Amino acid sequence: MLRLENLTRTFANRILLDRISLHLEAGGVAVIRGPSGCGKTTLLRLIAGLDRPNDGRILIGGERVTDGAWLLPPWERGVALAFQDDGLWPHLTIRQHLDVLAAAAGRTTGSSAPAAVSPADTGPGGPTGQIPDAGRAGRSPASPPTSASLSFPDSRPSPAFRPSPDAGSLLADLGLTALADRYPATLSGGEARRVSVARALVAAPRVLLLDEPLAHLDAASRTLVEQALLRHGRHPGRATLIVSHESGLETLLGARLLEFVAGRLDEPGSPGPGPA
Amino acid sequence: MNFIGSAVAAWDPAARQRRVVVWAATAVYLAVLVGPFLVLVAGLPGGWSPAAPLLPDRRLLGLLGNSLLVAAGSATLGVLGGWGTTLLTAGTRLAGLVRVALTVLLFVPPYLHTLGWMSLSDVLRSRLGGGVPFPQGLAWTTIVLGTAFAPLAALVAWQALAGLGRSAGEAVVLAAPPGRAWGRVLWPAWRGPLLDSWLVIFWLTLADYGVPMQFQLPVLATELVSSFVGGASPAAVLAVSWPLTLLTALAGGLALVRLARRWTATPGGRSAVGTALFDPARWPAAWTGGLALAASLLVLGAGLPCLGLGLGAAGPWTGPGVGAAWPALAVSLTVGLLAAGLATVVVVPLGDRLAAGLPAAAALPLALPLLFPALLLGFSHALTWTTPWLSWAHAHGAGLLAAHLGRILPFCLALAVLWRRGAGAPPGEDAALVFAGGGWLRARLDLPRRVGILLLGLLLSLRDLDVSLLTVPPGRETLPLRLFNLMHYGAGSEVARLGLLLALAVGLAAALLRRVADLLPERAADLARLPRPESTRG
Repeated sequence: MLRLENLTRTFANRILLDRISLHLEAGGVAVIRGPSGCGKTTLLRLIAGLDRPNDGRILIGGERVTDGAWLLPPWERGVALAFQDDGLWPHLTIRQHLDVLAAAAGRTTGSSAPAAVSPADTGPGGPTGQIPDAGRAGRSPASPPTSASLSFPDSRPSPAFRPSPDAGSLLADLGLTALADRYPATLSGGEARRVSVARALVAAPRVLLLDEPLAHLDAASRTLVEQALLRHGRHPGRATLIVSHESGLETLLGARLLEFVAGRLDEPGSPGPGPA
Repeated sequence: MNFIGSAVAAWDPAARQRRVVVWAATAVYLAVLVGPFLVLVAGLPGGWSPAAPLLPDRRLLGLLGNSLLVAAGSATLGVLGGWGTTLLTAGTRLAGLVRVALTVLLFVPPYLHTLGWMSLSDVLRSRLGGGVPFPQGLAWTTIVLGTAFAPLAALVAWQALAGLGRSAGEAVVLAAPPGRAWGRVLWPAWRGPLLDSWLVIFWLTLADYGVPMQFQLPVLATELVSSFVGGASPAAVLAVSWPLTLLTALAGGLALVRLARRWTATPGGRSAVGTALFDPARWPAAWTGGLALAASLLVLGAGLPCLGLGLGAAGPWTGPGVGAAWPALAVSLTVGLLAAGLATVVVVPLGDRLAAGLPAAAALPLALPLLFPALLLGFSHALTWTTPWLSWAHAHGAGLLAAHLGRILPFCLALAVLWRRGAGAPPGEDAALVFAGGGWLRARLDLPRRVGILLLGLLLSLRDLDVSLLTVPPGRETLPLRLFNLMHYGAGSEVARLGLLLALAVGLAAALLRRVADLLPERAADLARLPRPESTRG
């Protein structure tokens, strides 16, 4: 589902990401850990299309979304990102945050719709080995293709899927129902973080990116987010990449653990130079 | 994806725009600003002639001397009035009101100052007899231009004051009484901004031709315009304009580079304006007196013409002159709104790209049009749009609209870049890009900047005389142009009313712009109130 190939990013002559390669299959969850400033957030921003790599490719669902200097716009990638600084929209209530994305993903509050799974999840280019451009799929912004609308290159039936959560259930799962009509400026840090996670989950993305979802949360908020990630984080049609300083999250989610070492991604216990 | 599809879809994360959008905006910008010059130089009817004399004769050099005298005098007067007003009122309760008034005054065009003085002299002449002289010549040109641009110096001074943090200000006061602190700490810190404001006014007044024309002072710009309108070879006119163009570009370039550096280097946080340092009651009497004298230059220079305009406009507003001006006002508003709307669409993506950083070689062509005098833009558009294959469009106002667009584009672009560099991306913009694309959600988050750009464009277009005079199609007129033409016959009450009408329209838009600009610190405060994970738990 998500493939990074030799991704390199430098800042002021410092190599932050050094030929990073990674393959995360559909339904896969990985937790990235590393010291501050090592490039974890930069990696997520590169995947989301908010930053440009110096070199390398990014493929999502077998589709080319970044190829050196060529980038597909963020909203056409089928990616959702829970930002480290939350990035909530000041003029929208919490409910509106979720409804906007639920509507864009073809759902309304209280209903469920499936997220798509691409047959190309088996690797770059799918079974045929061809790498289509994501732009050719004709998705609507922020909305990954649904199983009904997507035409698979080899006409195979869609793999099994589990419905994505609707906005109402996400609000409930993350303890936000009572806050649904409030604006971001009136929320505490923990509440804003939960909204940020809920927004990422409701978007039904093909790739879910979470940047420090548990950082600076109190015990109650942390439990709520962990439970929500347990319930909704792993999805057969989605690759989930989590940046977190918190130990134990990978065990809780049954995720791969990747560590940043000198600009490279290392998978402890895994043979070979990197997590291909 | 084929090559074209791939190119169209390509995304520029630094500009936060599709590349094709940035390229299209750049193409429109250059087409409007540089295109007419290329058409001119390419040898179309009336184009470049190598036989045109390149060196100005003694008479033209004398006129250039007049231009320099006017610009230097105006800049000095403007700096004195502007800085005096700001320093005297910054620490008082009047500060907010003064800033609104300064913003409104900044956009009141110089020819309305002229009209105000003419009206005042008419009123005084009618009440006191014939002994009141009619204002004209170098001194009055300098007074009007200096006063008209003094608010700009005042706002630069505000920016300089805001750059001094509260703690730094309090530390200065602890070390020495305000009088001594000013000499030792503040004067060295403010010499740079003071010079910036002088340079900006010098740059903007050097090539002005409207006010000198009204006060019958021959300067190089009036000579160039008279020659051009009188049918002289455009090549000859352009050839002898180079000293003025060069000096204007140099002064403008220097001023803009210095201002841009200062703008981006200004630290945030609370300023020292509220400290004892800016309490006039604690200053030495000589300081207060000197600043009051300097401020009075602006207060009287702007207040008296306003009074003149008000007195001159007294009486019923139902005369034929006012009624006949509505079509001109409609043309002004239509052209202004269209040009400002188009400018906003063009400069937002371009401004984002420039704010994200662009090689100097690429940024220079975009910045250059800001530096050149408006009359050059007027010349090039006038010639381009009167060529046979464009004359039909020109008759329907396309030339006027394009020239207005060219006039306002560089200023709107500068605002777009400075706003983005000063305030950064609006909160939630990254999330809007990831989740909802570059559409309405992003536009809503960026609304204050976009409205600010629109209002600035509308203001500059509404008050424009420089390019309107040269590009207006036959049988049409804008409100400033109607005013300018009527002022040749004196400042009667009908003319004063039209002037007041224009001043009200400009003042309303300027007050709105001030309100939008005030959203900037408010937005920053909103951000500060947003609880951050580092500072708030659960």
